[in-house]
Amino acid sequence: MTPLTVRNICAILLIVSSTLDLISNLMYTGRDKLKWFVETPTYVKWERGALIAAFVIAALGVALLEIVLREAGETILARLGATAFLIGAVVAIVAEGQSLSGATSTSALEVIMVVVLFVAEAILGAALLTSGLLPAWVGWTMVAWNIGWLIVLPIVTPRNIYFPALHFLLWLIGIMLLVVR
Amino acid sequence: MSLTTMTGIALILSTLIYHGGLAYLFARAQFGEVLKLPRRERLLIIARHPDAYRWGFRIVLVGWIVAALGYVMLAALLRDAGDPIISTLASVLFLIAIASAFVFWAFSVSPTLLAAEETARTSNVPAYYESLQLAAESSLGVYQLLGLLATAGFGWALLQTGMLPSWVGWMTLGFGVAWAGVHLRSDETIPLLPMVMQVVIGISLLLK
Repeated sequence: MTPLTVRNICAILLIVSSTLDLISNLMYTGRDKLKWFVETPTYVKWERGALIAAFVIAALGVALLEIVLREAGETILARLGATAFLIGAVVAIVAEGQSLSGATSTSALEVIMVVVLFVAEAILGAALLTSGLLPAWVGWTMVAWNIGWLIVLPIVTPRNIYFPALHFLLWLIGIMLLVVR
Repeated sequence: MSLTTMTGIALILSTLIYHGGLAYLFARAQFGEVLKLPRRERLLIIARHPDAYRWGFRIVLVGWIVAALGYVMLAALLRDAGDPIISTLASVLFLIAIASAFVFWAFSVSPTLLAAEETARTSNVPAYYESLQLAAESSLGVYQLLGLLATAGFGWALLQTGMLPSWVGWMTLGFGVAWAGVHLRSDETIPLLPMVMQVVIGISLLLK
């Protein structure tokens, strides 16, 4: 049986957070776009609640990722990335919590959250690159994905740049942490 | 001064400051009645004691900040004592909880004072107040749940490391889990609960 090391728990938390995000996204798409489900307050609570839980668990996973990166020799970028991600996750939890309690506009919070999360994850990608913890392509993918969307979204959809699924490429790090030894 | 002593002092101080702030609110701002009355009557009472209300919540805010610092130091102690995982997770949960408490503070204290002034002047509760209160209360719920889970996490980490007598760990773990369970099963929010066990852990650290 695989032992519960910091690395393994970190990987599990990152994968669980991405799965919760996926569930929340499917619930949203089913309700808002495909009209499969009727919108009820309970349904919306579960949908947004899953996303809030995803951000909390992602913050826990990234906190452990910082320890794993530190042990692999990367100290500065790992700490910067984890701190920025914690800030972004808190803003995300606040924005989602506000929308759950009926706030009509949380767009300013959403812009802050999106920018901070993309920058944080790009820094974590750079930390993966410099530490050599995972194959270089994982780090490059993280950097390119996050910087790319940060540039593309304000041009393509300037009215709404918040797409939660884009912040959960963390599953890739989680799976690679389990696979690569 | 060692990190253990500093952590113990910070944790004890956080509880004393936080509960001191609450005591100030109860003694000087009729907070007991504020908690029981409907919104309009509550605002009228607050309008009579705006300074006491503001200062009471400022003291509470300082208590939260000191608790966050104390728990971050405790996490460092627990990491050095051989528990890198649970202590890190607990401190991250507590930091998110405190951030939610700050959001509650920002959405509740100043808007409440403005609404109290307006209610006293016009006899009507302003329309914006209801939605702001709902947002503030949801943040307080997040604070309480995550704060109690963090408390349980610190209890678990204390048990793992054997840094303090095991009854401290069990008590902290049991307190966090039990009250988190109660919170999940009811809509009642008791915001002082995540600010209780710090005093037990702090005194135990100083006696170590």
